[in-house]
Amino acid sequence: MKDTIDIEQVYDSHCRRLYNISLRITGSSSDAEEIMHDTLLQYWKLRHKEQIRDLSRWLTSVCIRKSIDWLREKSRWNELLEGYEDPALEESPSDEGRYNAGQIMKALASLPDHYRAILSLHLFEGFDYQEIAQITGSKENTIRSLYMRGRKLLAEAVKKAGYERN
Amino acid sequence: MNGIEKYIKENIDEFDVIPVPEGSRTVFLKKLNAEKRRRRIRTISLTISSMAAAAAIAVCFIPRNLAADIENHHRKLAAKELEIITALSETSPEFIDEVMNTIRVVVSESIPLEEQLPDEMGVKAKKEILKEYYDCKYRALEQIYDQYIHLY
Repeated sequence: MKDTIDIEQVYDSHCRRLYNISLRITGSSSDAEEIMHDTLLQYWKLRHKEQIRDLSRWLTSVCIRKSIDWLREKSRWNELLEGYEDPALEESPSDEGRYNAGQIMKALASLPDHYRAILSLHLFEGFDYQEIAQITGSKENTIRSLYMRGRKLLAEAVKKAGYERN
Repeated sequence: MNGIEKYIKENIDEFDVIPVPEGSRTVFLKKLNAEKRRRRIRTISLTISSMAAAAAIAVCFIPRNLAADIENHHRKLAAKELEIITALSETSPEFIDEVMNTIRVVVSESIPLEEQLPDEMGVKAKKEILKEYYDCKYRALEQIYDQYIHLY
């Protein structure tokens, strides 16, 4: 009985954050919900086997890994990254202006999978290029280049979302 | 750092605000219960299998003409135990521990009956006594099944 109460407490404390993390990476509400459930079930299964010092960090890491795995299965992630050629980077459009979280989220959701995932990991989860390269199994230079390109696309999409809103 | 990056960094709390879909908690608890059931059945199946295996090994030391009978009795009991636990895990998993304890009391034997029967007793008579003995245990398991499965 206590066991069930514990996991319910963990669920209540972390479900929204995990759901939002996965939603930003996968862009799919139903899959983000399932990944959030799987993450918490994995915690329940391993809670006595693994030494979990920082629960929030552990859950975040599992959730991100599952979300990236999901992207790999769904969107030929490896092909996209392996075949990626660094384009000549143009200057990002000026993104100074008024925007809000809703606009940014909407713009992020409209980006192709690999840009969205890399931007999410860097901007929201605070991973640097090297860490993202490790998580995704890619080269650091590729990640850096994808990030720069993704950032430009995001700025354009935010601008567009702003126009649509006005 | 451009404006959007700066905005996200300074307002990170604004971004984890999308609520989980309605009913998600209930779905999660159902998945959790299903996982608990699977785990419980796996553990109990292993216990029952190992008990049946132990019984099968024990009959190696019993005269061959009785061994097959005793092994069948044990298999029948093990199958019934598994049936009870599987059914119970679907209907009222909270009783599993209690029922497992009762089952253990019913089926456990500190000294197996076959070892207590006198050597001079004929095989046919031994078989009849053993049948009656194990049938009695089986009926007890059926009663446990009825008690818990039909009641709850």
